[in-house]
Amino acid sequence: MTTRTFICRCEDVTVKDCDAAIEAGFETIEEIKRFTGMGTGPCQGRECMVPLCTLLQERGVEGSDALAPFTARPPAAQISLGALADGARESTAIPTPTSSPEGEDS
Amino acid sequence: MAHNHRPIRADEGDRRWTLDGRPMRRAREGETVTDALLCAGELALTRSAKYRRPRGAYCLRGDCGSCLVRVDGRPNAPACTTKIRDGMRVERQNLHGPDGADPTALVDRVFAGGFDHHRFMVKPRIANELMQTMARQLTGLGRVPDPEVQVRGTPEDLRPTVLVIGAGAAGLAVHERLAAAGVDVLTVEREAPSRAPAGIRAATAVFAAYPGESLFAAQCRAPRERPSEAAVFGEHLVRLRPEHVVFATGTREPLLTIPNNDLPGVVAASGLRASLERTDGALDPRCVVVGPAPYAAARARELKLATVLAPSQVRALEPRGSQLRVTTDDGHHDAPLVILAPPPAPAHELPVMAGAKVQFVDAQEPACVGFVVQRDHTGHAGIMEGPHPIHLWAVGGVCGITDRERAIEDSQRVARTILATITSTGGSAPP
Amino acid sequence: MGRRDAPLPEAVDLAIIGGGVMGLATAYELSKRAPERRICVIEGSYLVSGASGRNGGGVRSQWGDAGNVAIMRESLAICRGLAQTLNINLWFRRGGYLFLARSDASAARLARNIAVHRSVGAPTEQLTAREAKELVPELDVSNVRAATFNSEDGVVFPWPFVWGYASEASARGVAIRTHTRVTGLGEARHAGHDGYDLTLHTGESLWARRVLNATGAWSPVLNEMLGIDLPNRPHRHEIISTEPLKPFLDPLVVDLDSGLYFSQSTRGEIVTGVTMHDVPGGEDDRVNLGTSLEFLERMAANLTAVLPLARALHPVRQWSGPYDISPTATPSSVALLDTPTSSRCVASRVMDS
Repeated sequence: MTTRTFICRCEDVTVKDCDAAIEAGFETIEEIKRFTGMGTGPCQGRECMVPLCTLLQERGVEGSDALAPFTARPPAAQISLGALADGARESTAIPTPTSSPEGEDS
Repeated sequence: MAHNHRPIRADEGDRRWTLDGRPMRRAREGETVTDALLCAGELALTRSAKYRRPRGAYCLRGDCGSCLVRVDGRPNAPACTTKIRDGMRVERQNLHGPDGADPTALVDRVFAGGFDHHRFMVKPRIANELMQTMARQLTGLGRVPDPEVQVRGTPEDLRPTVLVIGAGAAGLAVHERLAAAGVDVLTVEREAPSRAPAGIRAATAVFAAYPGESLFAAQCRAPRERPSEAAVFGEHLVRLRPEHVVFATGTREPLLTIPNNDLPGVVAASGLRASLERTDGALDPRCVVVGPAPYAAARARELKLATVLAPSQVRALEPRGSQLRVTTDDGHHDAPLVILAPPPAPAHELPVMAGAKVQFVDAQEPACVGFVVQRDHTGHAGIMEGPHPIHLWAVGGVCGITDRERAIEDSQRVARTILATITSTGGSAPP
Repeated sequence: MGRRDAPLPEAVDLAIIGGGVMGLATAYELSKRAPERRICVIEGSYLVSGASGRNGGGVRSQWGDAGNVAIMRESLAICRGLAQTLNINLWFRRGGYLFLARSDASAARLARNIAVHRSVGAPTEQLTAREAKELVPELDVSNVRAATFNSEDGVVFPWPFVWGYASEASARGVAIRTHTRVTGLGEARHAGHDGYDLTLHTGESLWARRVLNATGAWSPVLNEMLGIDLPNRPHRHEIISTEPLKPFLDPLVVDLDSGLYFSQSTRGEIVTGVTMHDVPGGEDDRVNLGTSLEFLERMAANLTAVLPLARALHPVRQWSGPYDISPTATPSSVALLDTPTSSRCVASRVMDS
């Protein structure tokens, strides 16, 4: 087996990949996330964000006071679309649909 | 990767279950799928997205997302939080070909130097199109759900005065203090222990804060026991509109960057400890703990293990038969599990969604590495702005207070402040 | 491909404000046509931080008027070889777009559109509900009245579009400065030419003969500095992606009656969104990147009605991004849908001026 050191196991992102992103000029956590894909899998950064921060500190990329987590977004725990859909049926204030830019045709 | 060495020895229970159609050691009540897998020595669950490396469970407590399996015809269920039901069918995902002979495993060797997915096989176009078609087949986890799978539940709307998120030592301390004073307090806990403390709502995981709607949203999971309803998953949405929220979300164990830290059999220490409690099992004493000194030593004591290594001592980590070989400058250790003991990292996501501020800390005191919630001297962590402002409070691990006694003391202090706030603003005050 | 410390010239022929896909594609097209021009791109945050990094990646020619169909068909043709031109994987996959109509009004709209498509030679097919189900067997088509399908349409992964244009523009001498906000903009003469002075939040300043406002939904802020009042405004759209599944869904599916759309990415995630009425915070015309449970519930209800198996799936991320909307409530640029073509048009206009 090839020896690799991972930052993010969901998307197979290694320390080497993060170093390459830093080399290409990406310096912030948001940028490195997008360029390498780290933190975009099922764990959403729960496992990999802190190791990346530690790496950035070691590389002297950002002072620790400048480190900010990438945007926290729902869901922070697993919820199924079925449970959410049933929530909508019970909700009284669901608006009627209008057309969307994706569905727009003019 | 062959793995039949059993890292945990535990008595058999009475719950029958199968892995990829094979009957396994019967599980005890309360055991999760990963507990049962550790007892069976079945550690590899899937192959990774890019290099097709074998992967298994790491955190063992619902955070890392690398133990997703197919359960009773439903894809992408976390094995570590899914309790074994009698007759349960568990299947591994994203494997091509028979176990141990997946031809796609070659990818790891062919691309030993790594590859840049942005520039990989871009030209010529025909090769690029072929590469994309293959990539699409190799990524993705589970197959679509079986047609008979159903998700069934009834949504709930709850308006407690105080919502406490997390029923660890810190959350419980707040709950007890407020409940004793007659406050309408609801404490939710994502885990489903067999014996939940009184007044605590278990198996309820808050998944979001929505400032624009002044609410928090949680998923509530019903226990799955009835064999006749194998394909029915009871799960519903809980909309929570409290006046105060106390974040007691604690900490988790992120990855440590040692070589081959992704191998099946590399697991997190605290998650493993909880697993041992559920199975009442005995851990193979040859297991090795790896981590920065104070954390690794503490976790090794808890797990009663003798071999403790600093991350910098690990020169190599490789599969060796059914075990993992850890090589150091002084020799090597063959271990059924390599247990990582990273500094705890605050579970900061929910407070951040609600508008609390966090700061990165990397220090022994507080004893954590990660983003800690910022709060004033009373424990107040700001207000969730929206149509109905909600007061935010934080206690314990999520603020970097990882010592149990200190966390309880801190929580009792914050609970007194919350009580004083509620009393002084009237309205929702206790009698 | 864009750095916080990229040096900026004191004077440029063109300053493009906004490092999204439109700004960078225009910089790239111009740098190819007029290599002697000095061009810079100034981005307030990081590349792909705006709408270019937040959309669902759909590219289609199925529109309601001949002009849009023609632009989009040209964009799709460019897309086919664009990965090779930009030397980056764009993950463009022609799975087609399947439109579903569940009301008479929507069915009539599809019938009108297909006539337009045929008049310009687009290979859009009219399908029955049963034929739609043959295309995607997992669909519930019990209420579907009519459907159309165009196999030339597809999906891309939007981020590499931005990086690809940025790399190629930067290789041709375009200065791309990130994490730098324009705080002042005013008319000024320099070396006998009319132009503009730009002040940056870093304290730097530069003069540009021409300025291109490519900040999309954020553009009213810059327009205000020059006293320009345009009626475009931001419109928030939310979107989710689910845990990855093995590939089963080829086309991007649009349900016209609910404004729902969904597709499957190369990595296997279902990427899906649904139209909402206007948005919290939308009234003051500022970009709002928040998310809501109302959206999540409504999206889930509409998606699971059309794709019942989705009831057992889990979202992994919910986010939002702004469309830049004109007074007729049509997007003035639908994220990256038309960029390959539009950027060429803009580049030609700038050249002419």
